[in-house]
Amino acid sequence: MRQTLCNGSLSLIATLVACPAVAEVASLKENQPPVHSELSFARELKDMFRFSGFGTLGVAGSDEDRADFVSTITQPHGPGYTRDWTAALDSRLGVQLTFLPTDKFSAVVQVTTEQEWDNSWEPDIEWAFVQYDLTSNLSIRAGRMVVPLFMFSEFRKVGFALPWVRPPGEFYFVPYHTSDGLGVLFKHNFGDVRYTFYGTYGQDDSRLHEGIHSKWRQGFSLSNTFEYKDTSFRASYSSAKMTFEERDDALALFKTFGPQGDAIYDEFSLRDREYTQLAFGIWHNPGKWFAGGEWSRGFSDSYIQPGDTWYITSGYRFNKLTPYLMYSKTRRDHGSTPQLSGPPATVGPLNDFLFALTGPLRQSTITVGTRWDFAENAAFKVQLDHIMTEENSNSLLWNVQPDFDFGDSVNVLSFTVDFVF
Amino acid sequence: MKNLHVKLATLGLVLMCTAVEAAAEVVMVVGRNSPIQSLSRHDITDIFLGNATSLPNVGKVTPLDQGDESVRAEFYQDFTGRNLSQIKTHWARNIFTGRGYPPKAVNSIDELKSLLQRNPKAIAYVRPEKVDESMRVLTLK
Repeated sequence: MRQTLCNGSLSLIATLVACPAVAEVASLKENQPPVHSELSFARELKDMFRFSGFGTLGVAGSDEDRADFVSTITQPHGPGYTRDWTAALDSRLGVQLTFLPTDKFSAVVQVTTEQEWDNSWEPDIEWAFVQYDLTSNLSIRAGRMVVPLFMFSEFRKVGFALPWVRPPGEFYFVPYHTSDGLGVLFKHNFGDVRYTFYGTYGQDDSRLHEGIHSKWRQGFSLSNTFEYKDTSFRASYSSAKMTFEERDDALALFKTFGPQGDAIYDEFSLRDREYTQLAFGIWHNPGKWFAGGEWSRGFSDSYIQPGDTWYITSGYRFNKLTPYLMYSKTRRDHGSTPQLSGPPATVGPLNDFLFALTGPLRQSTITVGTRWDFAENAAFKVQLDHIMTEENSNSLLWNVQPDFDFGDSVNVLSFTVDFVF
Repeated sequence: MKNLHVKLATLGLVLMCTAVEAAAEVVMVVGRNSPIQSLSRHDITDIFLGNATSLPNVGKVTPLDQGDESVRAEFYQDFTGRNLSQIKTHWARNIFTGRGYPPKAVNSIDELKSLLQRNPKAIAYVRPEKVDESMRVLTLK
């Protein structure tokens, strides 16, 4: 769904792959007599390419028929109102080609296919970057890369790499995941503490639910991870200027209502509005069990409500079975939701729209499930999500019907098989 | 005579390390000409999980995995406390974020010997009975 820049990244990679100079340098290096014997580990052409992939086959059902449960902001529908059971919620496939011509240079292209906003399964480029290692601890990247917003962001689509069926919705339901631009990776050991920095700067164009054009500009994300033995601590700061085209066009209708409408538009305009986020995470995994959580605070003067989101989770491994629990909660609120005054028949729908856009977002979920590692490269998971909506609040449910009572709970049962190859 | 010394020395090392590592099902080995002397368990974990790619005074090192699942499982259980699914999960997180690949896996003891001989900076683990004069068993710090 992101055509604008992916052609550029692809051709850059194609050029590099085809670049005879790179190949020559590599072959020169390998044709030298094996003075330093690591060179005798000749990197032949076939060793320069690695092909890998991941995928999930899943089916999920809901006991609610007045609203859909979705797992990303892009999905048009999910189990619930649209249908009782669906395979489209969690199923996806990803393939990756890595090019490693020398010790210092690498290029990665990863393409994923999953349900898009228009019901298509059109492949999307998740990663497409070239990387150069300036030293063994410092690398720079250019191209498309996933933004390290949260602990699981970079591999949130790789079900096999997650303890649960999917990352907690309250936390990972964000309209912005990749960035076309530059990245820096740095690592350093402070005694027994391993420090990793990953920073990205760039922009993103994508299509969300209902085909909304989402644009992020001047987006940067700085992530710091400290690992000590089996415990890691993470702190990150992210910021971007966001635009939601069609939502802004709709909001512009308020300007036809005189000064009060102008004031509303000025406050909530969805064009180039700054959004900033702080996130902290902690994770402990000695092998036999795990426990962790993340907390984030969003700062915004528009659209995306400012506020706090957090989750805690834990699991215990009984050989190949790892049952887990999770609790996640979001409370986001502008404080007050403006209302347009006038004849109810005229302003009613507009006020409802405004509430849906800027009103409070409060929701929490209790998740219980288990992962069964039935093979070395495949896992089966079963998970039950109990989603609690709140009165006078929005939720992360989609296609909510007028007879849905906010305050009600929704149960979603999911079965998945995750695999890597 | 020289050969006998080497054999005796190797035997001695093997016996010594087997004694030290009595609980372990695998021993760490390098080629006979390797500059790698001794490693801590922490070093080994870091190298095999891709958290470290080089050693002080040695430079870039090359870990080698065993194709044999039972030997591999024993090694990772012993050194990391994790089963093979967990190790696979660790690598899935690295591979699909462009952060690296697991060690190359060798499928026979002959392939392992040949790789250790060709690359003095390669590190491997083997069952103690597979150790021969082409390898040197690493003492663990």
